[in-house]
Amino acid sequence: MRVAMFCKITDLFTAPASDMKRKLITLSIALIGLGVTPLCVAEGTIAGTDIDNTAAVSYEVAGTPQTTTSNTLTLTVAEVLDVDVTLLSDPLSVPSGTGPHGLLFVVTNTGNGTEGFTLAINNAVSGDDFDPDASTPAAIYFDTDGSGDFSAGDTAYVPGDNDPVLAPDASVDILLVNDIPADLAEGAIGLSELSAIASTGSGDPGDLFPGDGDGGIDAVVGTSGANDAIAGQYLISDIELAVVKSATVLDPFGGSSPMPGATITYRIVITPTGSETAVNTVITDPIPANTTYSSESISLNGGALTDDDTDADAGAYTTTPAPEIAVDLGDLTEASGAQTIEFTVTID
Amino acid sequence: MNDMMTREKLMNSLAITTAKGVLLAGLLLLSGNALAQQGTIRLEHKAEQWQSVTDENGAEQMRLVKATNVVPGERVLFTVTYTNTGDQPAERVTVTNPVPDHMAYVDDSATGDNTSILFSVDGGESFAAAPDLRVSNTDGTQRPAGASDYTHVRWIVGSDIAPGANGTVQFTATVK
Repeated sequence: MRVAMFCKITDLFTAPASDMKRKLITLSIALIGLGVTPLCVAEGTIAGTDIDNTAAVSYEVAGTPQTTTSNTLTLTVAEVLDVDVTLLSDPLSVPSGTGPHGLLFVVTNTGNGTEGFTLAINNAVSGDDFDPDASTPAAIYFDTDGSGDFSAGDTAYVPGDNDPVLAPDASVDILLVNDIPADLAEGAIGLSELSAIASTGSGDPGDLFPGDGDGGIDAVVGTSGANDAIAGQYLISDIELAVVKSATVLDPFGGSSPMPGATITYRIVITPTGSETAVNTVITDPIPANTTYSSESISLNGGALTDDDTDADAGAYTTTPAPEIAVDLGDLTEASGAQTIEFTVTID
Repeated sequence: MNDMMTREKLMNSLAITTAKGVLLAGLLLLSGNALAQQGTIRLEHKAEQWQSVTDENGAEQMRLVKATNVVPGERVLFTVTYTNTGDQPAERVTVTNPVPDHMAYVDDSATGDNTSILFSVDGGESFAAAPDLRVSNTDGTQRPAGASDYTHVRWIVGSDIAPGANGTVQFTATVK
C-alpha cells in the first residue's frame, strides 16, 4: 500500500461562477471551419487576440520609386474549449461500510480562454464490482485546504453556483467523496468518476459556438471535446489508514508567521483500524514548492530516521523527480497503533 | 482623374519625405486604406483557412475559405495579388509581408511565380536567402535560422510588370 500526501503553501485561486450568466449551450451546431485539427497547446495564443497583417510592395515606374501597402487583414483568435481531468489518488483501500472517503483529482483548463466548468460525479461506471455511494448533501468538494484529503475545511461544489472558473492553463484540485456500502468482499473494486464540461459548450472537436467565447468572440470545441472524465478506485480492505496532517510554523522572530526563513514542521499521524493488514505501507509526502527540506529532519514516533534511501532504516529523502520524503511503515494492523511522522522544511 | 493624380502626388511626396519604407507603410496606414490603394500597383491581400466539407458522395474534402476566426495550431494561407493599374511598366517590383505577431512561418511555404524569395529574421531590417540566415543564441553564439525565426517574407519579382498584368505570392503561417 502506498499513501501519497499532497500539500501546498498556496491554493490555486478559484472564482465562484455564481454571477456568470452563461448558460450551458447544448445546441450542436454544424461546423464551419477547422478541418485541420486544432492543437490545443499550452500557452497558445490567448482567445480574443487580433492578428493584423499588411503587405507592402515597392517598385519603380519610369525610374521613380513608389510604394503601396495592402488592405490590413485582421484575424481573431477564437476561444478553444478544452479541459483535462487527471486522477491524483492511488487506489484507496477502504473497509466495507465506512465513509466518507475522498478521491483527489485535478481539473485543468487546457483551452486558451477563461472558462467555467461544470463538474459531475458518476458512480455507475462499468468494469467494477460495486458502486460507491455518493455522499450527501454533496459528493464533490474543492480541496480548499490543499490537504489532498477530504477534510472539514473543504468547500462543497454546487453546480451552477460555484463552478470553477479557470484562466488558460490554470487548474483546481477536486475531491469526490463517497461512502462505501456494507458487506462487500475483500478485494472488491468500486469506481467513482469525475467529469468536467466547459460551461460555454462541448461536443465534437471543431464544433462552433458563435459569439459565446470570451468577450463575445467565437468559441470552438478543442481536441478534448471540451469534456473530460476519469475514474478513481476504491479497493475493499478491512484495514483503514486514517491520515491526518498538521503543520506548525516557527518564524525567525519566535512567532508563527509563514515568512521566508520560517520553518514548518509537518506532522502526519496514520491510524490503522480494521481486522486486516496493510502490507508494505509507505507514506510519501512531496516537499511543498517554495520551501526547502531541512536535512535529516525525518522522525518516526519520536525516533530520528536518516535521509539515505539505500540504508536499512525506514526514512528517505529523494529529489528525483521532485523532492519528497518517504517513510516505509511496513505491515500495519490495528494493533500497530497510531504512527507519527514528522519532518521540517524552511520557507525560501 | 484629377483627384487620382492629386493622390498620387501626395503619395509620392510622402515617399520623398520618408526615408524608410517601414515608416512610410505606417504613415499610409494612418492616412487610410483608400489612399493606400491608389498607387500604380494595386495590392489585394487575403487570408484563408482550410475547411473540411462532405461532398455529395460522402467523401471528406478540404477547401479554402476566408479566414476570420482562427485557433492555436491552425494554418492560415496568406495570398497577395499585385496588379499594375498604370499605363507604364512597373520595374523592380518587391513584395514584402511580415509574418504576423502570434504566428510562425511554415517552412518552405512561400511561393511566387518568377520570384526570388528572401527572409528577414531581424524585423525587416535585412533580408537574405533562407540558407544564409543566422540568429543569435542566448549565449551569443550563432545558429542557422529556422522557419519559426522568420519575421518577414520578401518576393523579388524577376521581370517588369506590364500595364494590366498581375501576379500572386503566397505563404502559410501557423497560429501560435
